[in-house]
Amino acid sequence: MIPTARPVRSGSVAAAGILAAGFVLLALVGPLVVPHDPLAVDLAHRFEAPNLVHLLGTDHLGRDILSRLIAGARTTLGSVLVVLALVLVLGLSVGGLAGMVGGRLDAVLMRLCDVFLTIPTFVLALFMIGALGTGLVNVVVAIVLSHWAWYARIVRGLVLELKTRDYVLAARIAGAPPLAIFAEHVLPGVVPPLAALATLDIGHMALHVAGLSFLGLGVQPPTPEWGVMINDARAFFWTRPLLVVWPGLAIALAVLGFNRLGDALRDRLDPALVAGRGL
Amino acid sequence: MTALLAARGLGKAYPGAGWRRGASRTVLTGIDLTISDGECVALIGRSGSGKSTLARLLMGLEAADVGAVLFRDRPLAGLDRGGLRAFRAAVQMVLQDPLSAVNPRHAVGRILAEPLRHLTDLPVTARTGRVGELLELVGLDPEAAGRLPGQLSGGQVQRIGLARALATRPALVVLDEAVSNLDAPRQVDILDRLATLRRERGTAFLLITHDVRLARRFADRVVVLSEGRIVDTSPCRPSLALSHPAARELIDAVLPVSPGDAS
Amino acid sequence: MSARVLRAEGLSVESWRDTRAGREAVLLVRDVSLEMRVGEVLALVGASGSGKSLACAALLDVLPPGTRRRGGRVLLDGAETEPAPLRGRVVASVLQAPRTAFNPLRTIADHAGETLAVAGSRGRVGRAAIGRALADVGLGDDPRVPGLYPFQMSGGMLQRAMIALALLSGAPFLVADEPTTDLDLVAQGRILDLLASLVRERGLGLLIVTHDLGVVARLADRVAVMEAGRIVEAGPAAALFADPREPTTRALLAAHRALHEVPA
Repeated sequence: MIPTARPVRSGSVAAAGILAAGFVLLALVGPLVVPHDPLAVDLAHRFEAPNLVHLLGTDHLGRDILSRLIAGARTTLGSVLVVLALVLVLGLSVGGLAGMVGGRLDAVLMRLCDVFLTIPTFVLALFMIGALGTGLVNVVVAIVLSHWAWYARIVRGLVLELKTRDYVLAARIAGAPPLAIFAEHVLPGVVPPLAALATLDIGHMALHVAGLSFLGLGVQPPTPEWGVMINDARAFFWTRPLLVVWPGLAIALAVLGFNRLGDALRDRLDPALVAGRGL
Repeated sequence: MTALLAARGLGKAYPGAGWRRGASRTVLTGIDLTISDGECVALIGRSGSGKSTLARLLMGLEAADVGAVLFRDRPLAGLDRGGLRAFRAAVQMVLQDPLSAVNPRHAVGRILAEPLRHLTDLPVTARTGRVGELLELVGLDPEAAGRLPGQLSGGQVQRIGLARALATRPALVVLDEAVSNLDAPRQVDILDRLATLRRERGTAFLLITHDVRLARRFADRVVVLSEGRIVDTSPCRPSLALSHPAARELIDAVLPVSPGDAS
Repeated sequence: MSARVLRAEGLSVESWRDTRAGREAVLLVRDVSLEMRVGEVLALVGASGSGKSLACAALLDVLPPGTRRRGGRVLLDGAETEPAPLRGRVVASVLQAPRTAFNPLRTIADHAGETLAVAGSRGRVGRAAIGRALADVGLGDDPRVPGLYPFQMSGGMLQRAMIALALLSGAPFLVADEPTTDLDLVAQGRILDLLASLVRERGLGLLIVTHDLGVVARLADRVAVMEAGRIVEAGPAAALFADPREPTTRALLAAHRALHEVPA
């Protein structure tokens, strides 16, 4: 009856949404809209300043920077989406199992999580790449392994909280088996806060992909990727600083956009607010 | 009459919390209770007397430390999958807080269909009709099936909880303080509906409450629980004959009907 | 000289909902007047959703988010005042769910200290006052009580502690919104006895909100019956029970009496 107070939606949230949507769109349709072939080397037009043909100029091999940025969006955001999907699947199944079953299984799974939580992403990535060689796949695996345990812990916490709800008890009385209880009564309460968290993490994981690629451990040149582009431009930093600025700006804007969107989502989908509003 | 549901020497203790882990807290001791088909028993006691724990044990939602719960003379612990399903269909419960007992994301129709899906062999096509019948049974418009609980009043949601418990045509319905916290017109309304059900279908009820008035008005027999034990019992008619101090305390706590009356 | 009469006149509370045409105001409480007198109990009764709690919240100026007071004034001994400064000095309040009203991380003594700080006394004088207030509500026998955390106390004890805090403020008026709804009948009876003795012995002016006419019969001198945001009938309790005029009152009374009947 009494309308609940909603968090004020500031213009910056809308801007963040547009920014994030723009990056996703670029990643989806990138190859269709690139003005030039992002891999085409044109040594006659190296280091061109922004002009009408090359809107953001060209790099040390004469490749069109705008085209490489657009193509890079797909590499970076695409791998982040794969990472997120894997992390969510692992987190939901391990955390869901631990929370629903409880007891000894819960204890074992949570100790396993503790082990993974102690390993920093970069250390694990260096180890994996040392053992298995460089490449985007190994970077993705390293980020997944060092992040899934966070999600598993959060899912478990949410499941434990939702499990005490009276309507879960009522579902048991109505004869619902544990799997049905999880799918119908627990999961819908876990998904919204998890979605907010995942959105918040997109920027963070994009930084990991770009950072590891910058170090030469992930995506390998000549594949266009923002971290690789910064690495390529490093040698010319003092003479052509713009070459570093463009991919840096892209990373910064993507992180900013997804972070603000994640914050806004979290505010909107806060479990307490959700319970209060009844949706 | 056969014993529909019986408790035999039930005992339950919970482990202590925090740094007093060693000290376990005994909640129930030596509970013997039999409910026959069509009978209406009121279990009365103060908060913390162990009423809700006993309800959970009787419903098979928690296991007792000692003793057994018997459903038609067979221990709950020994029931196979089919036996447990038959037990759930035959013994249902209405929870205390109506709004928190329904998933706020599910429409009323889905809430009422849940026991039908899991506990009956009713075909999908017949469920909608059954949901409509259930809504009518508790005096709600069949249109309500499409509503969310948040769109209904507290009294309407309590009736949804009752309709859900009646969905499988159970032989026994346990009401865990499900009537106690409503206002008087709603209490009378629910009790009258339950009395009709008893008359028409012979449903048995276990009414758990701290309010002697509700027990006296509705039940055949009153059982008094105090500090985890059954301390007194009496038929309701011709009049309650309870003598244990815990029972007297509950009777004396009934408020006066009119100003100036002695309570 | 302390106040004798606290009167709220023409209180209205509105909420609003968003429609396609824009914001539309919804009146939840319409033109409610209440008069609290020291040494007397006024009961505000009505079904859930009738607006009785909101009317009290408007009187105390503690309306929930999404609602606001529209119109009405508050008079203390005939002089118009702002409601907010009265809170904790002239009117204390006791809420329905004591467990949510206490900070779980602070002891009863901590809460009492906070109340006393508003009233301006601290130190040894304060501690003595806390001891007296706890004794007045029947929590004086156990010296451990001031050091207890809310989770270590039963619902009845917490409600007593809340009344003790209300007494500490020294306010001559107390608003109690469904103070016994979460308690069992035995605990309810004791809290009502306590409130009755405070009114009788200390001359407290009490406004009690309830849906239970048994509480009214036990305690009230005067009654106001609310329905859909308005007061539909008001008067001395005995007269209202003996000769109810409005259909709402009659329905409430009929149900109340039916609960005491034992069908043959």
